[in-house]
Amino acid sequence: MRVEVMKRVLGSNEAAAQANRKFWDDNGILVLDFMGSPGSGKTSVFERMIRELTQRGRSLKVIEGDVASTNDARRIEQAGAEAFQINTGGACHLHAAMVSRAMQQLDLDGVQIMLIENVGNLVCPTAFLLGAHFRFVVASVPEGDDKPEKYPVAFREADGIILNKIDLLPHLPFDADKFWELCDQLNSEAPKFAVSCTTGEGLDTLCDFIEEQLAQLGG
Amino acid sequence: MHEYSVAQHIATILSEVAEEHGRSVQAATVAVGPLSMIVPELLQEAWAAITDGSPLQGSELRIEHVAIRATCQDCGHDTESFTPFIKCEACGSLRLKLASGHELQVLEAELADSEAVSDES
Repeated sequence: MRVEVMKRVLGSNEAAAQANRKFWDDNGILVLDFMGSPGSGKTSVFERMIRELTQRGRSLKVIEGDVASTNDARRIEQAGAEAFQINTGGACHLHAAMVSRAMQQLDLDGVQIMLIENVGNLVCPTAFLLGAHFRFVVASVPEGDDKPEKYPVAFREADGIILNKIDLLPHLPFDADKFWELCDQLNSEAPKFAVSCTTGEGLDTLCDFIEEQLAQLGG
Repeated sequence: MHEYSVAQHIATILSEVAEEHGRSVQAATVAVGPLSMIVPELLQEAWAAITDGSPLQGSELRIEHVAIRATCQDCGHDTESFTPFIKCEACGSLRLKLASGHELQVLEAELADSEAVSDES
């Protein structure tokens, strides 16, 4: 006997993601989800953004996803934002319910921007929406200019692409034109940012963009 | 390696189907699009591991591959692809609107002919 099922496999995660989004919209909080390989510099980008956006009078909080340790949450707090660390204990991605539980642990009064650092991985997080308004993929110069070719879905699905560690461009055989060309082939419409957390280059532009997104949300 | 999470979600859906109909699940068909990044072999392996010792043990998971289908925003042509690098076959444009490719859906289940032994019987 055959029965029609027609159910989305990750439907329960999608429902939790939608509930997260509604909560954030109702509270006027812009939420940004960052994917990237381990070592691409997601936490360093967060430290820079927190310092810059705090200086511009914005209030930020952070959810950190890692397999283990609270190292990143400590770095974020030193940069000046409260962070909640999720340890997935081996899971390779965050899912929406983990984020909803983390939200309950944070005092969100007056918060305008929530940054979520997904587990360092360019495969699994793409399949699990968290409900964020905007999803960035972060790649870095030492990883090589063919990263989009090797992990095409992450680059295709992202709403924005960040190339980090551009201060290393003079020292490494990284063809930036090739990298951006691959990004364009996969995701011609995503805004693209080249940054260095060492020199600070490009971070103003990234923060301007985030403030524009906040303004669109009505914040 | 999100196949274990995915297998767990499929098992939850099929357990509900089995309960609703009072019959055990023998097989299920799952549509998989290239953008779901599912590796079929790993999903099969995860399915066997997740269902082991459960009422779903031994049930067959049939994977139906779905192509990425996209409509060109410049010339309107429809293009099909199984890789995420996709451009309009007609005009080469990258401005495409995707109609499919993200699928990860349980389409149907094949249930045992006889009713499962329940508490009432």
